[in-house]
Amino acid sequence: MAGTPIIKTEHLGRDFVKKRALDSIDLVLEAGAPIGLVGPNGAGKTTFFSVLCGFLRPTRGTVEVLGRPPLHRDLHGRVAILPQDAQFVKGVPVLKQLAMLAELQGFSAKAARDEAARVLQLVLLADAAKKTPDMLSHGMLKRIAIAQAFLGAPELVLLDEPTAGLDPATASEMKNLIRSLDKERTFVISSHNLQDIEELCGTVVILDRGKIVEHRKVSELVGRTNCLTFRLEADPPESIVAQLTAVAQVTRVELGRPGERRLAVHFRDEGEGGNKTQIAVLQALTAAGVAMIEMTRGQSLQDKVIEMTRPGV
Amino acid sequence: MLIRHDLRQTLSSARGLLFLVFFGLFWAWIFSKLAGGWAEKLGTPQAGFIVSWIFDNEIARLIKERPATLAAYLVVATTLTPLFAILASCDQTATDLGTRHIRFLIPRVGRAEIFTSRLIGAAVLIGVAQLLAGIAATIVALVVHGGEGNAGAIVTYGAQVTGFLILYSMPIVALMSLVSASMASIGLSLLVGLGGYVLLAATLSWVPLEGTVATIASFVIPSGLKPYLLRPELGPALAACAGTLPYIALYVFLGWQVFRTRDT
Repeated sequence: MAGTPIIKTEHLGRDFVKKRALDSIDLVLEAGAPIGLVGPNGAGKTTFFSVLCGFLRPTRGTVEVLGRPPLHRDLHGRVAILPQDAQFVKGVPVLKQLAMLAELQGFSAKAARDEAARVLQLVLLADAAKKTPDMLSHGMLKRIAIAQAFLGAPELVLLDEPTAGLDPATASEMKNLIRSLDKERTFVISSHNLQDIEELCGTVVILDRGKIVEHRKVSELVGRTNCLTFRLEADPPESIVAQLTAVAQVTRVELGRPGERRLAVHFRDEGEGGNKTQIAVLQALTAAGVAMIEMTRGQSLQDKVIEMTRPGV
Repeated sequence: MLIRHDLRQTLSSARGLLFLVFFGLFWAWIFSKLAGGWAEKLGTPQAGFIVSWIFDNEIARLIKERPATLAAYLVVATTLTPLFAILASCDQTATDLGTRHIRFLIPRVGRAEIFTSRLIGAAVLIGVAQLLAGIAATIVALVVHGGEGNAGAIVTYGAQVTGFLILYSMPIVALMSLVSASMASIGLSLLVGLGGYVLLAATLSWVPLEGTVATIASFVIPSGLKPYLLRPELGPALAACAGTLPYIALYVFLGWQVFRTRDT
């Protein structure tokens, strides 16, 4: 299977009764660093993710996962899915449920119990093995659902909102878990939490109004070597645009919307080691009396996605 | 694997236990009445006259020619089998779909395995319940009529009746595979199953149809087979048993088509 894209779609479309949720999506995703799938509400992100998982059928076009249609028999055990809203069976201890899922993947009864215990340990819930779903909090159930996605050795793991509903400490543990496993398998992560996507993913696919508006490396998109973003104490004066544009190598200056107290300065790429333009920009800001709270190399993915999916763009 | 899990889950769930308790209590009450003298009274000519007046001559003949306990059991059971079978099999894929638990299953097994295992799980549950009730009915019949030196005939007819009822349950289980896959909710599945069956059966019995139309209409649902199961002769009853197969095939096919193609 070397060289086969992990996901390939051609002219993929999905309609609901009165809405075109996905419109002719052509996408090829290769194995490697985690891939983020993002977009505003109503962008078609959940629909696209559900089509990739085989939960929804496309209205038009084709979709292939590891060279096969989603949920093809050959993919059983090779593709794992964290669905966002699936429930475990009430009244059955979670260890038994995970063991049952492992048995369905081909483990023997004894090996399935061991595998279930292993994945519970991974999500730090070994103590909950004998508890039934009704005895667990929403966050714990989320971690159990994440655990089931790590049963066996899937090549591709599709995670829908893996940190939603988790407290910051647990979310951080789950992100560490994903990072620790991303060399052995490819993750596709759908999330509204763009900070998580920025931290975890090497590539991002941005959807808006049922279409792909961007598919790029995160580092390229946020422009870490060709942009500085400032959080300011107050909205900057309009005149700052002209002052900064006058700095050599600066190509564009973006002011945040009123109240955002934000400023982004784009310049010609200096590479990882270069910083002459950046120093000149800082000097220009100081000279203009603009007080800053924070400076970040590049733009945050969140700002970038908001910018790219703003109505009218 | 899924069937084993499904059965274990059903037997430990409130719904499964409710069905078994309801089923068990109902038949325990009926059997206690039959053993307490009803069966002997049913075998008298006076009772036969009343039965033929209330029901029809075939049922009166069944009670007269076959062990009365088992005949009475068969009459009551054929009437109530749709209700019990709907109760026992209303879940199948409904909870999987309604709670989206199916999303944990389909990356690991095919839809066909899920559909088949839920169908077989429901069929085994109602089948075993019918088998136990049939054994109990045969034991009661042996206690009531065994002194008449016809134990062999009672056991043989008890086995036949049990087999008839198990087979008669299966089209309902198959029908519920269609209803549960369509409704994706156990409550709706039960409501539509019971309501739809009662409504259709009532409509068919009240609408004055005659001739070929009446014959065809009587076979829209499996209850059209019931009169043949209640004949004392083996031939018509066996034909009725064979007649369950097209219903099973049709309902399972439709249920599978719905389950196979629906979004999860």
